[in-house]
Amino acid sequence: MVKKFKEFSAIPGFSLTLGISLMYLCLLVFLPLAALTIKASEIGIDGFIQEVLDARVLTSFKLTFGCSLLAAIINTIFGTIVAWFLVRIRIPLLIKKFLDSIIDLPLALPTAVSGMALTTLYTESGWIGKFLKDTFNMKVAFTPLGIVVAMIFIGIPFVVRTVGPVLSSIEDELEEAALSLGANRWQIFIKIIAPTIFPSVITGFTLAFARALGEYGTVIFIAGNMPMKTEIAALLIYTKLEQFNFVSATAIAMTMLLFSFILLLIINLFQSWVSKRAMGTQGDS
Amino acid sequence: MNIIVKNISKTFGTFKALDNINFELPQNQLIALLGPSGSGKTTLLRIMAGLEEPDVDVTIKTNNHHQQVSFNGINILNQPPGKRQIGFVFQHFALFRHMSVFDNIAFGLQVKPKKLRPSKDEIKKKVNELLQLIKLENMSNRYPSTLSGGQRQRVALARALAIEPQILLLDEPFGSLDAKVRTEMRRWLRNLHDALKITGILVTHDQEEALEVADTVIIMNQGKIEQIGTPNQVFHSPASEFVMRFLGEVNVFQERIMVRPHELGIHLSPDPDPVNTTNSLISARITKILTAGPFVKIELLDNNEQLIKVHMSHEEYRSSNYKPNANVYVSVSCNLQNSNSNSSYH
Repeated sequence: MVKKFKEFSAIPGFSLTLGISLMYLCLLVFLPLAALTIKASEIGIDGFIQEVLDARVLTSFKLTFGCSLLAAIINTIFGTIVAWFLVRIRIPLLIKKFLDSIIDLPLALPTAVSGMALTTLYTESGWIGKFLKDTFNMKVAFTPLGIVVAMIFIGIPFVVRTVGPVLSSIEDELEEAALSLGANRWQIFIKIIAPTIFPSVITGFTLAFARALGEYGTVIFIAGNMPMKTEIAALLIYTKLEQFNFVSATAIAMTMLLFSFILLLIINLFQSWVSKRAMGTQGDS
Repeated sequence: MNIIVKNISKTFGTFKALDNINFELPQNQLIALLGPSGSGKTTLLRIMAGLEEPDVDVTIKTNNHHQQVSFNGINILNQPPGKRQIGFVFQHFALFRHMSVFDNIAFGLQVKPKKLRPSKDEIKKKVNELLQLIKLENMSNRYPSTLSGGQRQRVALARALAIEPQILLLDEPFGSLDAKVRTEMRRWLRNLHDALKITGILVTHDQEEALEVADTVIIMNQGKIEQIGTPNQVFHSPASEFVMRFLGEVNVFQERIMVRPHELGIHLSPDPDPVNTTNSLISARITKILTAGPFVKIELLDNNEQLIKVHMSHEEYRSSNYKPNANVYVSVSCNLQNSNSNSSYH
């Protein structure tokens, strides 16, 4: 279906909101990005590639994307379970609100605070770190595992907050219909609930993933920041800046930006496709 | 081979939604549960479907047969909804949005345990039969969002019929459809019932719907059954003042005599014909005449400024000369005089 750029609509303010949206995006997103691109282009394509293919840089990319992906996947699974609990299980309102606030806390907490708190817990002398060391001989702080832990911490609210509302909007009637047609609890979840919440689960995954990719503060406390081992891209950029190596820093930043953008775009396209399926609006004829 | 409901009560908090409901009706009928909102009719339907549990009376718990919802002599009260072989149709259709019409109808078959599940071909055959029944053969690949309200409700009905239920429960099935579609669906449901001979219980607050479509009408009010009977019985011999008032408009004279508007006649002079002389005439003034509709509605005020409603045929209206503000006399129509004890509740 072809849509005209501006169709008549009863909702007012098309021109005004379009103007404000574009200006807002230009000033706050495009302009800084353009500056970044210009700065990075100073070294030319060959220089750019050389900077990016540097072993230390590549390792930091792998680490950042790998840990972010892992953290986002874990968050998606457990965040959905937490959202399920908060929406579905009947608990006193006060306890529910208390839990709700705890879920939101990672959003409000200064990253240095959460970073230090996590590090204290997960070092070999910390409560959890000591337990893991004694029972599984596992080290978390100052390893890539620590980075994943930090990324899980900061990403969890995104999944819970996107899945929760969709989960609570599923009509009881749908489940009752499935129930009276003979479906068991598991079939109702797989065939009715899962397809309905799937788009929001993906959105939650995207947000948690994007947040983890960009996280700096929480991670650097727990990571240990050893080059070639636990050094994330954001930290490498900061290190380069400290050494006044602006061109190198912008080259890394540019690459990071490009890959993040491509990944987010793919996930968002996938999400909208899934969303259409869940709403039953594909194949309109 | 009966439907038996025995000693069913339901309380929500302090609100008594159902107060000891008992009835027994033969199978293969279309039964209407009729009542105003809050009368407990939907609650009763949901208890029959197993979507709600009735109150457990501790004193009678030991006796299994004391509290029951039975079809074909089997008490299903303790069975889970999926095992009751009940087709439930919801007011807002409750179709699965992410599934095509085909998958929606096939759902009940596809969730059966492997041993009982029909083969793919059998499911396909069954769904196609149902699609034919609901006259949506070409829409099996469509999604619910692309269907009209009437089509959606038919898909919901086919979905319920797919599991070959022994009883069909319909909760205000046409409540969210517009008036024209509603009458069409009503007729269609009646024809469908006549063809399939399946027992159906239909919840509605629309007395016209209940009287038109059902074999038996159960009228409920405030958690209790007011009357059970054929549409004719409940309309012409209402068992209570509530039933009388609920099934149509009534005029109340002397605070106790109730007469339906179509049972009243209007006369221009106080002495119209000898037959009627025994009947006291009420002098009144015409305030409003509504001629748009299948019959003419005339509103009058008597000397005490009390509203009287009279319905008459267009033919009768045309043959007389009624004008607004004219002073006339109202009487109970002579042909209804003899059956008066039947037609009004004292």
